[in-house]
Amino acid sequence: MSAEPRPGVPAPEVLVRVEGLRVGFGRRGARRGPAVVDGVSFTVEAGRALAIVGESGSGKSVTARSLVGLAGPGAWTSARALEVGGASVLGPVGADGAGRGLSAAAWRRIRGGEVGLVVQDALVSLDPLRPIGREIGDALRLHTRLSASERRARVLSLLDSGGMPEPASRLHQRSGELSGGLRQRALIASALAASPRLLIADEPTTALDSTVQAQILALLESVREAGTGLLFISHDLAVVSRIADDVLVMRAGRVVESGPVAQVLGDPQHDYTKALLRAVPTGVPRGVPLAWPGAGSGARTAPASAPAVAAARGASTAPRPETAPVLELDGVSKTFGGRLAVVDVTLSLAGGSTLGLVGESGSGKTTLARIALGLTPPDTGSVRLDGRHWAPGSERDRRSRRPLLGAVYQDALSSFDPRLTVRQILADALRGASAPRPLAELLDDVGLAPSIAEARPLELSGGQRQRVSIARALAPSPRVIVLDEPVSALDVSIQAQILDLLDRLQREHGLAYLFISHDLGVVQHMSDTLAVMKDGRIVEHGRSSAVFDRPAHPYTQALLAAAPRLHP
Amino acid sequence: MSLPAVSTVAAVAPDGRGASTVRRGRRMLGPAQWVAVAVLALLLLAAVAPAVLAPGDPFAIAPTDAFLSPRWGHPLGTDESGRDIYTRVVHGAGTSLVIGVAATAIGIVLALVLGLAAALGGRVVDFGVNRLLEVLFAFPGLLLALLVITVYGPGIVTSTIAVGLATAPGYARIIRAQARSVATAPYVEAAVVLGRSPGRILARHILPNAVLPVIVLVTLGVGQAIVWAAALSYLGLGAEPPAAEWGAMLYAGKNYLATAWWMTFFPGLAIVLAAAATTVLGRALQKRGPR
Repeated sequence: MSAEPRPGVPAPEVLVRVEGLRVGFGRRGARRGPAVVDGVSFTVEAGRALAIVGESGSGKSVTARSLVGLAGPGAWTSARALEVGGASVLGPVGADGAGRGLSAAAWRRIRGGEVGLVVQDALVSLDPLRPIGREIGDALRLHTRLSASERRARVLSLLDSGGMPEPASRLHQRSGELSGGLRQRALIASALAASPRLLIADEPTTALDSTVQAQILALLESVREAGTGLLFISHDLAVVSRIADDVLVMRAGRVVESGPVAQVLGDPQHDYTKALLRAVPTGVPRGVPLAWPGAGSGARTAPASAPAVAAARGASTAPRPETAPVLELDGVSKTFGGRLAVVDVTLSLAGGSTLGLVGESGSGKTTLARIALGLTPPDTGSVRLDGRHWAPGSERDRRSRRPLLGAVYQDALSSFDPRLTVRQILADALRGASAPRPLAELLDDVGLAPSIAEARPLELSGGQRQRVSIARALAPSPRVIVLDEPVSALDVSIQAQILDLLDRLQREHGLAYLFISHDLGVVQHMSDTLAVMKDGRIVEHGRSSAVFDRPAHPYTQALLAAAPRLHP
Repeated sequence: MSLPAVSTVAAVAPDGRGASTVRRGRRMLGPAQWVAVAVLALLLLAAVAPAVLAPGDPFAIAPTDAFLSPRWGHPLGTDESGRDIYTRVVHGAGTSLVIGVAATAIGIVLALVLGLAAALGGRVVDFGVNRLLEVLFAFPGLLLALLVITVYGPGIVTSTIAVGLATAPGYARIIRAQARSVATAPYVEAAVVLGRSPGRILARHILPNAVLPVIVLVTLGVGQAIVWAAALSYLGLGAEPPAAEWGAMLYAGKNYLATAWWMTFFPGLAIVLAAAATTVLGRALQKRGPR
């Protein structure tokens, strides 16, 4: 992954040359809409990987997609140069300076032929009704003159080199019958089918578990090593630091910093790059704020002066006073139709502390959360809340003690009644409190302006929604909050703000958290104790630092090894 | 959904402090919707105060003026007894609208009871209601209405009830599906976690979210009910001649179709306009989405 061209090797072929790219949407009368990508320049060479990093809305996907004419409906594109495989794809340039784009037929030759595209959600990218063998064969049918049997052999070898187990039997499976990781492999295989020189991968591992993500990244690395150029779009700096040779940091449609990955991530010059790096929670001790404190209009995060950080570090290393357990799960098991979801789990959450629960999708984390919340009755075992029996039992018995236990969900939006405003949602939640606080105070506590009270959740950003969700959980003055993947759907900088907020609320209100996540970095940053879950069982459980430093179970070791880190 | 400017600014400033970009514009009605509103307003006026639009008597016979084609004084012509078609069409609006609205109301109330019971009443009730709905679905709607009329005899009241009964199974299925999905929605679970009682959750979250989308369907249903009621009258099973009801007027005019086309054309036009206007408005509501 060295940045400099290797000595003795001729300069590699330039696959993509982009200069001064501007992309925007819509036309109002004679004038076109504002540019969402403004003045972006880069090149991608054969056998090298360029990563475009940025948050949602930074224009990174639009930039990559304009290379294959898929920027979106109503998009206009202008550039000093926009070349794929040495030929311009700008098409005839109109009077307003915007390229008209290539003809549909010309684009089709490039897509799949010159350039392969892999997107985030393989489930919707593959036709659910067609076997994957046919889906992959399509690219060959369109771009090569192979016979049916040759195509079949090529599809098999593609799946095989893509790390698909038992490729011959997979040919006839449909995308819905494959796991997320296998689907992504099938999609990569179909993108590589016609041997494109360039592969564009738009957040290819974002929806995947970390061990699966590591496999897909290894696959993409082997593709790059075979001489294919890779344009990699991601918001995840850790992933980027692993796979990319060069990196382009985008913000609001502009490039704020670019260069070799070691230089940009190792010695960032721009404040935004620094903020992005700082927001990565992996390895950051508990209590150290993650969010960039620069523009702190009313931000209540601790100032980031060196002494304050040191003080926070000191506070985090000092052992917290052990208090009595507020939430105890004792030998809890749950079976759904013969499938073991949770098997004999015994956990205990001490007051004012965080118990991190980490595991991959399908490991039973969410079922365990629902059992703790008293929403799913366990088959065997019992749950105690604040020293008294909690579940199983009738909801009527639990209702009066519900204010003790709050919940924050991954998908905040769907957890709000779509008809209600923020004010109504929080007023509902405050009704359960013994001593209701003023709404404005509650909003201030989670860092929201009072003006937001009249908005509906649909009108809020992802970070704002999660803040409202936290405010709702906080309203009845609970002792325990169950957080099920609370930051998984958020950009890294918003995630940093939410994690900082949760950390501050915990200290101010003495809250105990059951913090569930698939992201090891987040769990490590947040947790005092840690439980690793696999196939419904807790395979490892102990003090967070001990588990991370000396993982005992092979699965924990595999998880830790698979987690992408910033400085490999 | 997220505006690029907001989310990127939020990268540095805490996202919560950004000025909330609240969008509360209601989509304006298009020309087709405005025409529909005008037609409905006219129909409502005709239903509430027919004398304002047509001061004459819809039953006044004038044998010498029979079968007059549209002309000055009789803009839509006259029928076989010399009654003014325009006056009768205007006076018929009330009957048709009342039948349409009442039939739909009967259908919706029945559907609410069946649908909510099936969705929330447990497995046994759901099974029972579903089998009942399947039996009702086995008959075409109009046939079901005919069955009711055969048993209880013709007339405006029975035909209204019959149309209401015939439309109920369709609504009931939609309400059941809606209520079931709302009942398992994450926000209902969030209310359970907050310690709300089942009654409160039903009133606050499930009922409004399950029923409001159906309101849109009701607008569409009124038009359909008007057509069905007219069809029953045309078959001689609803309002009977000489009642000033559009379906009955169609029935009376069908024998003179070759010589006096205006006797069937204008009542038919009224039916089409009423049904089309409610449908256009219903579709517009549907597009805007339930709120």
